Amino acid sequence: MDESKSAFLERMFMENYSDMESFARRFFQNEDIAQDAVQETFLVAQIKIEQLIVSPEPRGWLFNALKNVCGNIYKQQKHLAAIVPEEDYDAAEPMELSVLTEYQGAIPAEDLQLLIWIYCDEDTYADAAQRLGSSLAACKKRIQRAKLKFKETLNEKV
Amino acid sequence: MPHHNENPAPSYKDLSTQELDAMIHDMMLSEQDLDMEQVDAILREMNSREKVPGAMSPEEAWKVFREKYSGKESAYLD
Repeated sequence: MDESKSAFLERMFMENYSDMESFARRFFQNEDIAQDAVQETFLVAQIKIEQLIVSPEPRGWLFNALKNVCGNIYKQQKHLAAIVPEEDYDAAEPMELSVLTEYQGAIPAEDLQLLIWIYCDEDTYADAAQRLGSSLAACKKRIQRAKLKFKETLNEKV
Repeated sequence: MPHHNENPAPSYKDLSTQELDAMIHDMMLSEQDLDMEQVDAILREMNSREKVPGAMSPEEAWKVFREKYSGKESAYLD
């Protein structure tokens, strides 16, 4: 992205971040999810910077992009809550390396590696996202998918 | 395009915080684009009622964006 576009995005961020975070926080009633939603919205804005620049109402464009991101996160939360028991929802329970490696080959190696980072190496989601080169939200989705795949494999083998 | 509501804005001061939260919830899940006049009016009212201690400043949040999000793939492009 060239300097003028980057400067425009930074200006939009500085002018709108607090209000967007406040609005998203009221929606989710959760500060961490709200902050992630706003950051993801600015990632969308960075990717679609040409649209944002020519928009007659950049603030409205950003808030409607935030609305879409929040709506997607909300749907994902509802979907996960429906298929994953609440105690597993945070994906926080420990898994033993021996259990994970026993099923080596049963799930894709990349997914297994991701689960090992999180459950055995005790990486944070942010660390794992950094290692993957993906956004925090994309990383969380991948962890959830990997975990579900692992559980399905585990259930088939038991 | 942002949606503009033709109905006169209600007096948000008369609404409870729970009622304002419910409005935000409905607006966020609505099929219609946000009415930015309504959004700004609700934000003004909410901000007059509370300041959240410890909320990240835009400068701190921008640093996080540059370090953790910028240039990454997005899961929310649709």
